[in-house]
Amino acid sequence: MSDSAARGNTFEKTESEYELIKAVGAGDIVAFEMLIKRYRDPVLNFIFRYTGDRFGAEDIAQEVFLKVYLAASGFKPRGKVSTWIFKIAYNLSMNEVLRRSRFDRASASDELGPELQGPGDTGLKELAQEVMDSVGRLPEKQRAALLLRVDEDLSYAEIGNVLSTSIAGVESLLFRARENLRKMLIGKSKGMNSGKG
Amino acid sequence: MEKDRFGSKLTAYRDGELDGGLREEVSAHLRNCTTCREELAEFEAVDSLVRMMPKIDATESFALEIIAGLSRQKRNRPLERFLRLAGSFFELAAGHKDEGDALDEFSDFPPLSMSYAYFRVIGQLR
Repeated sequence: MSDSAARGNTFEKTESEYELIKAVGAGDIVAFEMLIKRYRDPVLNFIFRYTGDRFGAEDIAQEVFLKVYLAASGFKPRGKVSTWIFKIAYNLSMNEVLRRSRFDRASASDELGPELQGPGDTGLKELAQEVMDSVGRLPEKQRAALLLRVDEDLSYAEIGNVLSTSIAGVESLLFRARENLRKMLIGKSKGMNSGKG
Repeated sequence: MEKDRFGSKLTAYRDGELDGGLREEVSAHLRNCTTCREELAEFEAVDSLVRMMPKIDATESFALEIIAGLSRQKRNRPLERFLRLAGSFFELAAGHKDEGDALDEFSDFPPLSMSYAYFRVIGQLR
């Protein structure tokens, strides 16, 4: 017990992500727990912000780590482990979004609706919710590219790897995502300010 | 017109993704173009807003549930189950009997009878 805890600490402090994934591939559960601990929050929040589904995000995130464990022995260190994990997270989230839009389009928009309505968006919470909704209205690849860039600080090459797109394609996706959000959020707040004045 | 020419290069510039010459070109343009400077500032504001989006915390049992799911998956691997069952039937067909089997009390069932087969398979699955 204490031995495994000590090993856990070693992994946490010193192991590179390649050594960690190698140990996971060999079936080391302590290493797997360390990997989960390291990537749990960014993966969970990427899925949550991408799908907009608070309750489903944890299920998808757990599925991501299951897939990571099962595929770890075949990991090839051509890119970063984090990029590979985000690629799995993106693919599973995209499948979920597609499944939902196919079968559940009406109820999904009903779920988001009430939070968008209401007069005041002065509080930070309301503003954050409004941003969440605006991001949710972006085309799915623009949304994924933006979250990977702004939240996770991935390079264009890494985002291209996750989304299976060229670097020029990522540049274009990010520009259009920001342009769309600028129109939705900044334009709106400008309009409101001028209305007030 | 000049502004349109830069388009996506403005955000790439902001992300530090432009190399040498192009970076310099955008930088020089920004010094002279108020519209592009404003646009860039608005893109920066957009990024700040995106960072404000709500976040969630994983439940306490997050990792435990994954590891439990892993052992469930291992138990239910269809190929393993099939091979174990196939092995049971093969032994059954060969008339093989284990000495000291926990199901010895059923060993007096006639070989190849349904009851014998049933308890052999159950024994293998335990």
